[in-house]
Amino acid sequence: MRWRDPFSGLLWIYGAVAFVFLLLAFLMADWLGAWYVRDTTSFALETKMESLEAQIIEQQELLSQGEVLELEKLLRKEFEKSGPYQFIISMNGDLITSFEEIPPDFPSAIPFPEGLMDFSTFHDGKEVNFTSLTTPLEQFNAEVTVALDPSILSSDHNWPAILFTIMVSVLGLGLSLSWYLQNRIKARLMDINTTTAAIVNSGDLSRRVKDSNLSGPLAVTVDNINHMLSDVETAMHSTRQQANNIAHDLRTPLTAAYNQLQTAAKRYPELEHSEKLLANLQNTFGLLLQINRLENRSELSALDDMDPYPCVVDSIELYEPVFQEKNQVLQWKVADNLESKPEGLGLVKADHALLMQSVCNLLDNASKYGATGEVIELCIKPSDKYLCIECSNSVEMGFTGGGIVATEAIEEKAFERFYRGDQSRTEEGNGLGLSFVKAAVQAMGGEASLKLESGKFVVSICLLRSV
Amino acid sequence: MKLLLVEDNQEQAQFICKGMEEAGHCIDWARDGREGFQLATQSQADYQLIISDRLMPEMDGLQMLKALRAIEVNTPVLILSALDSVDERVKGLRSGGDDYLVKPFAFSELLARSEILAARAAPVAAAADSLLTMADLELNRMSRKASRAGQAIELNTREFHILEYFLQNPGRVITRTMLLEQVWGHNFDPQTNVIDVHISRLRKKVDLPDLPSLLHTVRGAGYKMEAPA
Repeated sequence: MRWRDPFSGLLWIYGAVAFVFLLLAFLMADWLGAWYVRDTTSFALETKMESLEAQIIEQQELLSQGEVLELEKLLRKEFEKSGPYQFIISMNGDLITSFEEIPPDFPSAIPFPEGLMDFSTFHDGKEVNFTSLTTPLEQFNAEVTVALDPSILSSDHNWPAILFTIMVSVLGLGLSLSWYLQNRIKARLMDINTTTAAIVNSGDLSRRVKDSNLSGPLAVTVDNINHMLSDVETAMHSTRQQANNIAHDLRTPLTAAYNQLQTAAKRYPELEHSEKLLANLQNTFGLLLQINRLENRSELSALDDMDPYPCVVDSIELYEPVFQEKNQVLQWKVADNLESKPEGLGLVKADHALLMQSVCNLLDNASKYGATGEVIELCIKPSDKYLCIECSNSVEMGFTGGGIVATEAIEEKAFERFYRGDQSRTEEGNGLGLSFVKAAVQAMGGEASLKLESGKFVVSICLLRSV
Repeated sequence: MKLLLVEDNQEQAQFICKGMEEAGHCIDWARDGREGFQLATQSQADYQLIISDRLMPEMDGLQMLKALRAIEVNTPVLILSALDSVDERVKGLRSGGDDYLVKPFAFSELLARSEILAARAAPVAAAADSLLTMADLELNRMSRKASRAGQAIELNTREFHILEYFLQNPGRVITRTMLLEQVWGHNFDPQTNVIDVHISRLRKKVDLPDLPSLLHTVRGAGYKMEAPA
C-alpha cells in the first residue's frame, strides 16, 4: 500500500493537491480573467475619475459657473494625453464626447450614474466594447462619463495567466524537489535496511551502515545505529568469549573426572551407572552450550540455499526402524502445490546439520511421546515466505504425561529449556530437544511453533524460502 | 600402532597414555606443539597417528599441524579440543586435521577413532576389494548382495553400508557417532537409541540362529564385528 509508506504518501498527497489546484485554476481561468479585467477596469476608471474631479476643483476659478464649453475644452485637453480613455458629457439630453462619433448605444440620459456600464461603438474603424463610469457634475448640471476599452488591460498584463503559469512552475518544481529529496532519504533508509537485513541473515555483526556524507538527523540516526552495532558486536564477542572460556574451563576438569570414573569403572562395575550419569551430564552441558551459541549466533558462519527434501527423507530413513519398533506408522506427505513444481520443494535458507538435527528431534519426540501403534504425520507445506515441516502426533499419553495440562501452558513453555510435559520425568530425554529446535530454526532465520489441536500435538519448523 | 600424543594437561595425557598402552599401542607424549613438531619430524619418527590437543602454550595444535603439513608430514592427525562450535571444527579440519574429537570424550571413542584413522591411512588392498568376508559372511560390493553360510541376506541400502563399514574394519570398535558420521554422513549426536535400533535390525539378519554371533556390543563404546576365535 502506497499510503502506508509515508514518503510515497506525502508525494501522492502533494501531487493530488497540486493537480486539484491546477485543475480548478484551469477550469476557472476564464472567470478569473473576466473578474480580473472587470476589477482592474473599475479601479482604473475610478482613479481616472478621481483625477478628473481633482482637476475640475483645481481649475474651478477658470471654469465659469455652468459654462460647458470651458469644461469641454478642459476635458479634451486632459484626454488628449490619456491614451485609451474617452469621455462623454451628458447635459440636458445633449452629448459631447471625445469619440469620433457619439456611441449609438449610449443613453442620452443616465438615471443612476452609479457603477460600471458597458456599451459598444466604432472606434478607430472597428467595433469596440467599452466599459464606463459616470459621475454627476452638479455645478454644470451634467454627467461626465469616462470610458475605457478593457481589452487593453487583458492583452497587456494578463495577470491570472501569468499567475497560473508561475503556480504551475512552482508546483512542478516542488513536486520534482520532493521526489528527489524523498529518493535521497529513501536511499539512506535503504542503506540502513540493507545492512540490518544482511546482519540478520548472515549474523555478521561487523557490518556497518554506509556513511554517505550526510548531515542532519538522518546522519545522527546512521551514527547511532552504527554505534549500537559496535556495542552489540562487542557484547556478542564478549559473550562468545565467555562461552568458550566456560566451555574450556569446565570441560577440562569434567574430562579429567570422566576419565577417572571410566578407569575406576573398569575395576568396579558398580560405578558403571555413575559413568553413564556423568556421560549424560556432559551431553546435556554440550547441548546447552550449543543452544547458547545458536542463540547468540556464534554457531553458524553462513547459511546455505538448500532443498530441505533430502534432509527430511534422510531423517525419516534414520528413524524408520525406531517407529517400527514401537509399531508406529509414519505417514508423510508434501503439499500438492509443492509436488507439482518441477524444481521440487524449492530452496530454503538453512544449515544441513542443524536442519537434520532439528527434524530428527521432532521425529524422536513424536515416537517417544506417541502411543504404541500410533500414526505419526509429517507434512511439508508452504506458508507465506516460509516452507514448513510439520510433525504431529497424538497427545493422549504423550507430552501431557496423562495429566490435565492447559493447552496454552504447553504451547508457551514447551520450547523452554528443561521443560518436560511429563512432570514425573519417567520418559528418557533431557528436556532440551525442543529448545534446541527453536534455537536452531531461529538461527537459520526461521520460526518454530507448537500447538495442540484436535487432540494432536503439532510442532512446525518454518524455514525462510530463498529469494 | 605407534602414536604421538601432544597434550599440555598432564592428567589428561597420563590417562590417554595409560589407556592406549593397555590397548596394546605404543605412545610418545609431547608437552606442547613445539615438542610435538620436533618429535613428529625426527628422522626415525614412524608414527601412524598423532593425537593433538588444540589449545596449548608456545605453539598450539593448529600451528603445529599447519607446520607439519607445510613440510609434507602426512601422518593422520586427530585433534582433541574443548572448542566444539561448527566454525572451530571446520578450522581444525581445514588446517589439515583428519578427525576432530570434542572434550570431554569417552576413552573408548578416542581409541576407536584412533584405530580407524590409523588403519585408513595404511595401504590395505582389501579396502578396495569387491568381496568383503568374515568367517562365513560375505558381502559383494559390486552385486550389492550379502550372504551368511550360503544363505542370502536381504539388506536395505543403509544396512548394506553399515555392514560394509564393519567388514572394512574387522575387529575394531566402532562407536555410534562414528557410524552416524560414516554411514549417514551426519556430524551430530542424536543422543537417542536410534543407532542401536539399526544395529539390532542388522544383527537379526546377520547373526542367524544356530550360527556364531559376529556383531558384538562393546559396553560403553559401541560395536565391533569379529569372527569367532
